[in-house]
Formats: sequence, C-alpha cells, structure tokens
Amino acid sequence: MQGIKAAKEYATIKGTDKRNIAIDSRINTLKTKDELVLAYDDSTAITFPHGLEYVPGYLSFYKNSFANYWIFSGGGADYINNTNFISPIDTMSFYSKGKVFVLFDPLDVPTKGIKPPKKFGLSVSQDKTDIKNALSTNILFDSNLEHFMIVKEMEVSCTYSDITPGDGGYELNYSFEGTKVAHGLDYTPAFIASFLCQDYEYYILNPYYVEVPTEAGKSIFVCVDSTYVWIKVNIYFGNSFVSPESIYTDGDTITAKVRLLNKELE
Amino acid sequence: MSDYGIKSVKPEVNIKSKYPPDWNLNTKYPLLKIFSITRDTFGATDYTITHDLGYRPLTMVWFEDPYDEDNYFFGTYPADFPILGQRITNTQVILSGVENYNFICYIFYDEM
Repeated sequence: MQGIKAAKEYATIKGTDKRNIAIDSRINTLKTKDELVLAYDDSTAITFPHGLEYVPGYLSFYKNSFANYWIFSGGGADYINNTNFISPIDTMSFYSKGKVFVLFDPLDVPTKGIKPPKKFGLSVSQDKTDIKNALSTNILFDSNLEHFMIVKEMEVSCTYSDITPGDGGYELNYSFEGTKVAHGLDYTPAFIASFLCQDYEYYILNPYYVEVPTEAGKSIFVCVDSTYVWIKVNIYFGNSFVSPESIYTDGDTITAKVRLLNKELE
Repeated sequence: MSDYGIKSVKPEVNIKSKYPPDWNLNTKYPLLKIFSITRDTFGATDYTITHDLGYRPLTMVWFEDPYDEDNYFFGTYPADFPILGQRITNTQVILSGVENYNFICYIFYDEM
C-alpha cells in the first residue's frame, strides 16, 4: 500500500468509514478547471469556451434578480458541451449574477482528461498511476488545481404550516423570509443541499425544488447569502422544476441538510 | 490544540490564511470524494443505483439533452421536458427519468 491518507479534524484515520477521511490517494475527487463570474445585462447569452476536448462537469449558482440570495442552479438554466459552457438569454430575466465552476472531471467519456500544467507543489495520482503521465482524471490532488472541500455542515428546518408565501406575484413571494440560520463564514459560500423527506426516509437533492401541494406553482428551496442559509418559498425559478411528488403536509417539519464549500460565490 | 495535517493554498496566498476560498487543501476538512460514477440510459422505470455505504450519500447528476446530444444539464431539465428527480436512501440512489435519456451520476463517500 502506498500513497497518502489524512483524517479530517477530530476523526480517526483508522477504520473504514470514508466520511472521516479528508484525503485518500486511492479515492478520486472533483477538480476545478475554471471559475466563471457571470454578469448579466439582459441582452446577451454567455458562452465560455472551456478549452477541453470533452464534456466536463460543472456546478453553477445564480443570484436572484429581485433579492440578494444565491440558489443552486439546475433546471436547464445553463448547459455544457465539449466546447462551451452556455448560459442562455432566458436565464437573465431571473438572475443578476452567476458563478460557475467548470470541472476537469468528464461527463461524456470517463477516461478523458488533460495533463494539468505543472508549476510547483504537491501532486498525488491515484493508485497504480504514474504521476508523471497522469491525466486530470487520475490525479487525486494537485496543489496547482482547485478542489472542493466541505468546510461546514448545517441543518435548516421549519414547519410546513409556517410557510405562508402569499398568493402569487414576485413581490409577495420574495418578501417571504422563510427560516434562516447564520453560517458564520466570511463569504457567500457555494453549497450543496437536500431535503429530508421524513415520511419516506430519503433525501431529494436541491435543486429539485420541493413542491408545496397547497400552493400551486410554488416550491421550497435552499439559498445562501453572505450571512445566512435559508429555506425559502417561491414560484419556480426560471426553468427550474419541482420534485416528482409532493412530500409535505401541514404540520410536517421541513429539514434541509446543507454542505457549505470552500468556494465563494461573491 | 495546534493545527496539524496537510494544507495547501492558492498562489500568492499566505499558508496561514484562515479564509477557506484561499485553500486548495486543508485536511481539517474533507474533499468531495468520489465513490462511484454511473453512466447509463433510463429504461421504462426508475433507475436504481445500489450502494453499500449505510448512509445517504451526496450525489450529483447530469443529464444529456435528448434533443441535442452534445449538451449536458446539471440536475433537472428545462421546463418543457418531463420532470426528473432523484431520491437518496441508505442503500440506493433512485433516479426518476424518462426512457432513453442518458445520465451521469456521481455518488460521493461524503454524507448528505
């Protein structure tokens, strides 16, 4: 056995529970190629040539045009192909800013990757891969690349019956504050969130907004700003869509698990 | 307790930085670690990926546009497509989709 392995803070390196491990050279990770800041002017679609000859993964976040919070994208607000990341013009009427993380990790062909530029520092390839010839796909960690870290785990919840988003219209809905918890970070963090479906023992990952059964056309979602993590209720954002089924009824607790990342949105 | 572990920061940044966006690695905190990657096409029913983690893992799903196979979306499809979704249990990730749509599902060791 060779390589490196490190446990996260207050966790033991021993045992098999990978949740305790910060880095393990037998396990691959997501690696960021580019961070894009999208600024909309309501007139032009945004196209970014990513320079990879395959389709890379990406994560994107958007800032609401009418308020100051950020949501996880999805819902066809944008897309990517083997040449460009594209945020179409339709997206702009709902968002004022965007932040996109284009990954090295491929979507179309699992073996695709590039040799990252070597400058200095620490580079670790996966088991049985020569670091000198390793593509980004097989590099676990490289100090010249950027990686996603979970820097905080949070839970936000509210009672379903407390949600009274009004009867329609942007202004009414945007004024609804939902529930919020201070995240304690000095920046607006990128995040990943999901809703616990208490009766079903499973999670639905945000941005599959959870439909509010008694409020047609409205849904529950997680968002962040520079101070808080929120649960909010709103009409569907742009092209976003609801979960496959309505899962909450009056009196239920709505719980969102939120993972805050080391990446800042602004 | 003083700091320990491995830490790497972006160029031009002091290694002592306590600002997470400056870090490339800080072993106090876990990197997102990939457990499995599934590339496949939906059949007529939900697509179930079995895992043995014993907890509900973090997942990410991208879908190929059935009308333009060069394009991939994260999460859901645009509003004029049928609804797609995912459910995460202690033993399964269940993707709800439409027959013949292609998808890529990353499951992580990290817990949701």
